[in-house]
Amino acid sequence: MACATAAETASVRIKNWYVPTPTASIPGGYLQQYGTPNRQLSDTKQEKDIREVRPISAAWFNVVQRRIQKSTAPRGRKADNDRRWLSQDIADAASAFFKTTSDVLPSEPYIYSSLKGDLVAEFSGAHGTMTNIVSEASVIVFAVVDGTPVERRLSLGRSETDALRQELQRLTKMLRTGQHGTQVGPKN
Amino acid sequence: MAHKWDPKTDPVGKNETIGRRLFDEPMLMGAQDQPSFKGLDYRHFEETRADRELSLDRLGFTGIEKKAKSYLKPRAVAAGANCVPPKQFNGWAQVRASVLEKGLGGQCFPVIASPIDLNGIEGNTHHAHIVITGDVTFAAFRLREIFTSRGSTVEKIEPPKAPEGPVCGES
Repeated sequence: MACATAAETASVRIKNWYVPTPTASIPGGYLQQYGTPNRQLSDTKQEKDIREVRPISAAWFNVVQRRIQKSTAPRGRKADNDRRWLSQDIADAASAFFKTTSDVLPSEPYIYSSLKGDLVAEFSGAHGTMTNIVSEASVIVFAVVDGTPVERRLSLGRSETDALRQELQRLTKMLRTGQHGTQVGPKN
Repeated sequence: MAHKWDPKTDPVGKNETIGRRLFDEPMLMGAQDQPSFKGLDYRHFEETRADRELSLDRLGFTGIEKKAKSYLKPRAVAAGANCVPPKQFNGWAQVRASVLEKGLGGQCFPVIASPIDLNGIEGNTHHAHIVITGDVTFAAFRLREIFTSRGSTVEKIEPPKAPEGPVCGES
C-alpha cells in the first residue's frame, strides 16, 4: 500500500524540532517559574572588554612599561623613598595612561618621579616639547610649540578616554607640524 | 661715582642675573637605561613648601659676577650636602630679573630680595625669591620654560661618567 503522508514517505525524520517560542507569547507564570536564559557574549570576558577598542601600542610602549614596573616600590619601601621609586597607585595610573595613549604621543618619553611622587614624562617633537605629569586621577600637560605654551589638565577616568586621546593627538600633531592654537593658560 | 652693588641692601634691579640652583636629581630605579634628558628637569622648579616661595640667588648686578659666584657656590654645595639623601650641586639656571618679571602665559614672576641674615655658610646676602601664586605645577612649568628659552646654565657640572674598565671587585 502506498504511503499516505509526507512524514511516512520521507527517508529522514526530524525528531524534537525546536522552534524558539517568542518570549512575549510565554505566560508570565512560566517565565517566573523557569527563569530567562542568561545570555552572554562570552563566558570568560566581560562585555566591556569585548566591545572596547584597544589602540595599537607605540613601539616604545613595552620598554616604558617595563621601566615603570621595575620602578614600582617594593612593600615597605615608602618610608625611605628618595624619588627612585613610584608608588603602586602612580605606577598603575601611569601604565594605564600609556596603554591608552602611547599611539598618540609624540615619542618615547623620558620618565622620572616628581618631588610629590607623580610620574613626569618628557617628550620632544620637531617643533617643541611636551611634559606630562601623571597623577592618580589626572594628567597635567604642558607643551611648548614654537615658543608658544599650551597647558591642559585632563582627567584619566575611563569615561574620559576618548577626550584624552583626542587632546593628546592634537598636541602631538602640533609638535610635529608646528601649528598651534591661541590658548595660553589652563583650559580647565 | 657709580653705585656699588650691595645685594644685602639693594632691591633687585631689572638687569640683575638671577640664578636657580640645580641639584642632581635621582633617576627611577628601573629606568636607568633610558637615554639622557637634555632639557632642564621639572623638579628644579617644583615648589613643595607651604610658603610657596621659590628660592633664587642674585648672581650679579648686570651680569654674572665672579665675586658673587665665589660667595654663593660653597653655600649651594653645603645646601646640597644637607639634603637627605645628599645631592650634588650642578650649577645654576640663570636669567635676567626683567625676563622673570615679564613672565609667561599671563603670569609674572617679580623677584624679591630676601637676604638670609645668619652667620657662616647658613647665611646668604644674595638670596631672593619669587612668590608662587595660582597653580604651582603650571607656575613651575612656566618658570622652567623661561629659564630654558631665555636663559642659560652657569657652572654646569656634568654627572660623573661610569668607569670604562672593569670595576674593582668584579671579575
